[in-house]
Amino acid sequence: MLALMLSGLASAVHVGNLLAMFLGVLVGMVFGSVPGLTAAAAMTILLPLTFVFPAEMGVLFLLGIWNAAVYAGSIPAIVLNIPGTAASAATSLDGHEMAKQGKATRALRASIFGSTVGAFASALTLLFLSPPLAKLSLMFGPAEMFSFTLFGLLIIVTLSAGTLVKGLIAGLLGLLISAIGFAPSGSIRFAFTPDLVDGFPIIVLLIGLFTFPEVFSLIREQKSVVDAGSGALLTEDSFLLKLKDWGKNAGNFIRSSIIGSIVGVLPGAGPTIAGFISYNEAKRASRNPQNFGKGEVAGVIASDTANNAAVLSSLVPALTLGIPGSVDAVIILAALTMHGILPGPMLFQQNALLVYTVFMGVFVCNIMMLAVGVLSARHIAQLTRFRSSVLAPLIIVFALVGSFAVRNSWFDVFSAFGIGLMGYGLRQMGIPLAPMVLGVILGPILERNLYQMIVLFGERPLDLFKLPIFLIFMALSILSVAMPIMRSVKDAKRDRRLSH
Amino acid sequence: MSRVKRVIGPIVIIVCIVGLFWESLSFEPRDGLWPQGIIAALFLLCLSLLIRGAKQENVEEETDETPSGGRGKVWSAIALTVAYLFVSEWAGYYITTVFFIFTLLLVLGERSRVILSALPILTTLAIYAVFFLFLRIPLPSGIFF
Repeated sequence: MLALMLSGLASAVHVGNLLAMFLGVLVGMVFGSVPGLTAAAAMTILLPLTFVFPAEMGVLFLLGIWNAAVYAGSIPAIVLNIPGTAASAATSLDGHEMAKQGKATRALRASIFGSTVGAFASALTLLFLSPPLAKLSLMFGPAEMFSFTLFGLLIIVTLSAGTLVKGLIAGLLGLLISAIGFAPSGSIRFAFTPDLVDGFPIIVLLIGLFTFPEVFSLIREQKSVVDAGSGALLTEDSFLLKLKDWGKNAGNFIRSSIIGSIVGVLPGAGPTIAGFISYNEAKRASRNPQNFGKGEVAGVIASDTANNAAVLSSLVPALTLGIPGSVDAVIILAALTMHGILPGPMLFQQNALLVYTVFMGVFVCNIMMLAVGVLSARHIAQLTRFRSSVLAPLIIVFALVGSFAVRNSWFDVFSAFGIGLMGYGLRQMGIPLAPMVLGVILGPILERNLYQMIVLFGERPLDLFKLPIFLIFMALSILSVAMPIMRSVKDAKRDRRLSH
Repeated sequence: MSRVKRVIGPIVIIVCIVGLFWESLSFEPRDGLWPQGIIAALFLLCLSLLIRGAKQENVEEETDETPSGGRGKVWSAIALTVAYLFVSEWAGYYITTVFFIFTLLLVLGERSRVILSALPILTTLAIYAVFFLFLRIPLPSGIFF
């Protein structure tokens, strides 16, 4: 194996491969940082280009795009509170609060380091743990997936600390929006126009929910991002993450990498859920959970480490079993198939050099991403200084054109704006928007697996108690609701005792 | 926040979800159960928010530091964006975008001549380059461009 790894590394650092990866990273950075443009869009558009490349160069080019786009989605999430991709939704929770306090550079560097550590972890996962993790993904049937998704959804409880009722309303509104379009049985619900038959595209929802409420707040405050947060852009920042950030977050990096690598392997779960679960766990493990949501660097690290770890690990079932867990993995498989390489158990035997070139290339690709991210952080942070009168028209125009780009549909442009107005109204009511995004993303997975679980176990529900993974996640779900309630009851009792 | 402001939001949500519940009655029972369950839970939560909001006394807005004219500018931006969406489909995306950015900059109080003249044109050119030339995504051309 060591010989193969060294041969793979030698092949990965070939000039052509290095150029392909660098180009991929740059394209991914651009697509990820513009809301509406996704990694999948970039990879699909540029897939034909990989025809003319050798197989490994084409795959490395696409992986560069994918990895960098997931990282770059955090740039607008931090600077403007507008996630460039769904995977960065959890990053905006603390990243933007840091930007408002003038710490955008530190948040951006935490984000790039988190992304790089996550990507390294998932590359190691691909390298050493592919076969056992592929087996794990096969152990997730509908019941296991339902309990796992339910566990993910109950993160709403953590996200809505202090406003549980409002957080639940947001989560349920998200679930209701996700019910628009095809039901699991194939019939169509709430599709008042033909454009809604497939439901609202998630990117259109994200653009609407995060962009317009933020822009309207900027306009109302008539200040720049940092001024609106009563901060000032801090420039005397260390070039790399501060040593104390590394020390304090060592456990956070490791935990988030593990969460991301495992969640990424599960079909349909993906980087978004990984980011939210990891954020939730970081908050639970923190000595200062009350700082989360107010500009805690650990929140940015947790989310970005996990979402990038989930990117490559979603390739595990794709490469080892030929079962893609995401649209992006399908595109990678398409690139391989176009070169006559069939993914599956025989891939590692028949195309070992190619596989190891790709695996080792991922490490090189991450170093490129790190260099670009670290060097650009301070310059990107300057965006938070722009006056709202300049920033607002630009954001509105790019958000609208981004929502058009999703399906080339003018209906989506109107939808994004309509959802934005709804989001602004909800924000005025004090309803948090992050649980709504979680509801929209997890709704279809939850309903589909519930439906299949009822079909499978409807007549013999006691058989569910024979499924250990199902039982573990159900127990974790119950605990994740019960513990905050018990803690708040305990706090209330203590406050009462102190006031007497 | 005043009592009226606190109750309007939950009432609007309740009215909308009651409408959706009515619509869901036409679905097959197995397809209707999921949205109906969500709507029922939403109804109860909004009702509790409504009752709590109605019971609370009027509270002075403590942290409202909105500068004068801030709300007016938000409404102007919303109205301009709605007009932009309708007009650009008819007149053409690119030409309307130039006028939209220019007008919104003025409405939001931008007075720098350089920004007022350069930003609308440069932004539109950037969108043209990325979306039309590079991505080949045709934006509505309308009767002008």
